[in-house]
Amino acid sequence: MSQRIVIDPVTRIEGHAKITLHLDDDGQVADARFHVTEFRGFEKFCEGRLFWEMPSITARICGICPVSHLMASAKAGDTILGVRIPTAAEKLRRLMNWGQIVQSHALSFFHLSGPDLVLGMESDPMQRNLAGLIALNPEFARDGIRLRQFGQDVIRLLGGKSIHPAWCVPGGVREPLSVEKRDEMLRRLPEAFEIIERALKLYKNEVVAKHRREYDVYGNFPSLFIGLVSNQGGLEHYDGLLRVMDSDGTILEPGLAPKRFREVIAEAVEPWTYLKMPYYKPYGYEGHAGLYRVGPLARVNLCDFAGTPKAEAELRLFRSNGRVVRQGFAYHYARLIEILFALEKIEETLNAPDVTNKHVRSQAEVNHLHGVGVSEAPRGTLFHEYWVDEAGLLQSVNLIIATGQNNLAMNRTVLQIARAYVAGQKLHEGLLNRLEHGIRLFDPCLSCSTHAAGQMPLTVELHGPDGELLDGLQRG
Amino acid sequence: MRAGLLVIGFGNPLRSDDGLGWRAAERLAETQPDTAVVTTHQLVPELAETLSECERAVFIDAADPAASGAEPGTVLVQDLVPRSPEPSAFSHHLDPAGLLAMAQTLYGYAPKAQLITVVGASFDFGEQLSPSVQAALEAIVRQINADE
Repeated sequence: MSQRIVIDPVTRIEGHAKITLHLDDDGQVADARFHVTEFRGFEKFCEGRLFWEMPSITARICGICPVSHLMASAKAGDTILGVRIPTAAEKLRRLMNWGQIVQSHALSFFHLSGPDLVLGMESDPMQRNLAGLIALNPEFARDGIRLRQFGQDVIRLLGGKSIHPAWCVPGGVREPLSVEKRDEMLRRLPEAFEIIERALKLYKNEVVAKHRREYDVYGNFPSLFIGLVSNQGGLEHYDGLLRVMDSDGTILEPGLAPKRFREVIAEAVEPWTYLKMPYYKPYGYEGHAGLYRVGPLARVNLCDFAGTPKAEAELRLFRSNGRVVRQGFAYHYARLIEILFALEKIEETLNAPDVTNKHVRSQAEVNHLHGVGVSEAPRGTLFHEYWVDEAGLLQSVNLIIATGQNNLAMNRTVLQIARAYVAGQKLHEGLLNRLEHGIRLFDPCLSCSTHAAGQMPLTVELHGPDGELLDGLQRG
Repeated sequence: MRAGLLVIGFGNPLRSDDGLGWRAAERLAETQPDTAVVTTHQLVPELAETLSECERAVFIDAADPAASGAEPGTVLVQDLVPRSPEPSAFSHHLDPAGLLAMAQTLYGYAPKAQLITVVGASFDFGEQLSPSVQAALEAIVRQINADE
């Protein structure tokens, strides 16, 4: 008789989810599914609105990564206008996007995954939380706060507020950067560098040593990787070309113009989740052959070089065992490298003479009835695609969200962890936390990917082959 | 030297009465320019440091009528003490007492703090407050201004 295990809800991620584990007749884990059970329908209710409003509207999809939607939406708007935005505006958008990478990655590493990484995956659940983390290592907790604050302050100084700034618009940005604000960001940078260097040291010296088995088990499988690289092949978060690579390092698509993304990405749906299942189109959905990963691990794998001195040195260490790292646990390391890179780029950009130039917006009317905007959100590649009429009213909207693109990979990761750690027909809290951590590696944002409202908890259920519920755990 | 009053209004301003915290905080910023004001969808860890830098803090939020058992528009005021969050419920969503505990532990100081909640009538999509919640907002702003 086969069985099924369900974990509901997954905590310390954005959104609501359920994990079901299906056992076969021998009591082994045959399948694992990560379900997303809420739906909000942003794409539908945007129809009929003006595309000018989309940066502000879509930024409301999420309270954690609104800047990513601002970027992709404003870029889709740029293509509808048919303009090239001023150089200073592009620099300022990039600055805000790097601020977003810093604050979001800091939240993921220090506060969402920190309790597991510092206290241990199966440590006392009464202590394995932010309060326990603070008690054990207050400096680590304070570092997370300060780094996140730096990222938020970059966003706030540029946009006027740290969440949902209405500053990024089709054609550029609304306000130039003042010298005073530039100097304020520069003043805060040295502390941010000190923090990320401490975190990298902790990760390399302690976290990996403590989690050898997890490193080998969690999300360790061959897959494709998709993401942006710069026009020269460097690490990129705002623009550039779409690259596709497999885990042997073979480049399947060196650099596709992002507006042609439909040539490489298609979407499947499953009846048991609201999260779509994007896949690499040339390989197809059958047998999940087209499974790919996006986000920090993908980006750090895909690029030929980082392009900044400190991040470049870390990238070499990251690749010390081979050109491509396929272990999902390395998402953490990739996240830290990206924070370091973002800080270096912020410093370089703030020191550029034209960053305070007053010309930051190109003016135009609707020149094209279709626009695609692509950027790299903290969690991976984000696509906004709009169709408008001649007055600029939206006829159709399609959003392809980073978390959705990692959906197949999250399912594979959960299955891999379940196969390694589930024994018998009973669940225990430590197992639940391991499965949750497998999902946290991807730092999913379910608010974004299903456009769901509110806070969502997680359940885990264990089911037999005939669907009988054998055991269940819930929290949230 | 610490700043005086910090007002933290939280909730979702696109969910009708859930925007109460934002609206109240914005009004206070207009009427009392010296008051530090934060509006946010959810309480986040870095607010612990901001809290440790003020003498007094007021959190403003909307409450679910089903959970509170009170009529829409009812104002509930609670004095807060720092309290570590319950582990089982602890995710990235912090509560005010948990934030105060973080301020105390990480920065050695937590201000005197109150949580003001107003029972909402509607949490549907929308940017308007219900009449009873709007009336409660006016009362809250008057009270906080009078206390300063």
